[in-house]
Amino acid sequence: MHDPAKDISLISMILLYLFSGALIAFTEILKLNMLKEFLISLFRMSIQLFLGSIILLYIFKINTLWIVMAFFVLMSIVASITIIKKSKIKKGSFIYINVFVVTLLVTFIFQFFIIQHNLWYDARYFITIAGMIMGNSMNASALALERFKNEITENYDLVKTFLSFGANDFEAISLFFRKSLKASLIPIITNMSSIGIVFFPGMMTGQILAGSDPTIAVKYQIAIMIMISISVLITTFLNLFFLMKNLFKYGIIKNEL
Amino acid sequence: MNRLLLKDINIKINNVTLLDIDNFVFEKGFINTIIGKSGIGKSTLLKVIGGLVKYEGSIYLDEKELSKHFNIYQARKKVHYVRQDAKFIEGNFFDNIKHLLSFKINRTIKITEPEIFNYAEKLGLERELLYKDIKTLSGGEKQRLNIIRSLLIRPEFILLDEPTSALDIHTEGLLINLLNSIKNKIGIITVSHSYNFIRHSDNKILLSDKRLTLFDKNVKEEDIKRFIGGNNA
Repeated sequence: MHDPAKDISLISMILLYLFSGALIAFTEILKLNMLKEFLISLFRMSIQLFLGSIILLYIFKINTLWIVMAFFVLMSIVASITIIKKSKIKKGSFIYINVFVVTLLVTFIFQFFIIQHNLWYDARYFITIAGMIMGNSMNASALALERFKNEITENYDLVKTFLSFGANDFEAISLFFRKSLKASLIPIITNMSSIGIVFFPGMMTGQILAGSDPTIAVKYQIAIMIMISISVLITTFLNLFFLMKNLFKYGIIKNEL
Repeated sequence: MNRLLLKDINIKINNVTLLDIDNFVFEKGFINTIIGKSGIGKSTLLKVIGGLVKYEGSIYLDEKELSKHFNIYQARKKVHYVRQDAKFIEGNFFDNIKHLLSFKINRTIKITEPEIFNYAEKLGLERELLYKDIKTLSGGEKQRLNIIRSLLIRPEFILLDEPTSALDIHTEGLLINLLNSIKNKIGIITVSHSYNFIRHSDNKILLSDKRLTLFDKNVKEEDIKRFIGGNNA
C-alpha cells in the first residue's frame, strides 16, 4: 500500500450537494417530475452511507467473528426482503437461507483459499467482499424470480399441457426456468466482457485510488468477478428451484405463486 | 387395458360438491361422449380422470387403481387429457414433438414421420403445414395437431375436451372417422356440445345432478339437444 486515498474536504462535499441541487433543478426545468424521488434518494444515500461508515468503523475496530456474523445476517435479511419485494412473490422464506448460505460460502472460499487471509472473517475484507457478492446475487435473483413468475403466469395453460403429457414438475417448467436463469446471468456476463475497456469497476478504482499497485487491483477484480458469477448462478438457481417446488403440490400446479 | 372405472368419485370446488359419481365404466371400442349443460363440470371431470385435478375416490384402469399402481406422470400419460385450446411451444409441429419426447417418461417412445403424416392426412392436414411455425396456423389446424400430438404418445385412454370446437362439419367428420378407426386400441372419452359429433358417438352419457347416466341407444334428438342448448348442427 502506498498513500491512502486523499480525503474530500467539507467544502468539497458541500459543493457536491450544490451540484446535486443544480441537477435536480435541471430535471425540474425539463419537467421530468422527479423532484421528490431525487430528494429522497439523495437523503437516503447520504444517511445510509454515513451511518454505514460509523457502523463499519465500529465493526472493524472490534473485529470478532460474532459481530461480523451479526452484521452479515442483517445484510442477508435486507437483501432477501429486497428480492421478495422486487419479484413480488408471496412465499419466499427459502430466499433468506439461500442468500445467507451461498454468500457465506463463496466469501469464505474467497477469503480462505483465494486471497489466503489468515483471519477469514476479518471485517474489512469479509463485509466489503460479501456486500459485493450479495448485491449482485440479490439483483440477479430478483430479476430471475420476477421473470419466472411472469413466464409461468403467461404460460400457465402450456405448463398444464406439459403435465398432461407426463412431464414431471421440473420438465413442465424447464423452458421458463432456463429462460429466467439466463436473463439473470446476462448483466454479469456483459460486465465481464466490457470491464477494463468501457469501465473500470468500483473495487479496482477504489484500490488504485487507495494506493494499490494496479496489477494487484486487477487480480482482485478478476477474482471477485469470478466469485460473483458463481454466487449469482448458485443463488439464483436455488431461489428458482425452491420457488418451483412451492408451485406444485402432489404433482398438481397451484393457481398462484 | 380395456376399461376405465370411476368409483366413488367426489369433487369439491371451494367446499361445494361439483361431482358425486358412485360407479361408472368407460370401455374401449366405443366413442364415449359426455354431454351436459355448460358449467356442470364436464371439463373438470375429464381433468380429474386425467390426473390434473385433485379428487376423492378411485379410478381403475382394468383392475389397477391409477393412483396406486402408477405414479402421477405415468397415470397422466396412460389416461391422457387433451385440452380444447391447444397450447404449443414456439416452432413447428416437429419441434413440439421433440420437446414432449424430452420428458423422461416419453423417452422410449419411437415416433416415425410416416405415422405423423398418416394422422395428418386422415385429418385433412397437408404435410407442409407440419413444418410451418405453429403461430401462423388457424385455430382448426392447431386443434387437429393437438389431437395428433396426443395420439402419438399412445395413451390407453384419451380424454378429448370439445375436440371439434374449432372445426367445420367436414373436418369434424374426418375426426369422427379417425376416432372410429382407433377406438379399439385407444379408449375414447370426449366432452362435446356438437350435435353432429354426439350423434356419431357410440355411447352418449349425460352429466346431470352431479352424476353420469348412460343414454339409451335409441335416445331421441330433442332429448340430446335439450342438454346441449339445441342450436347445434
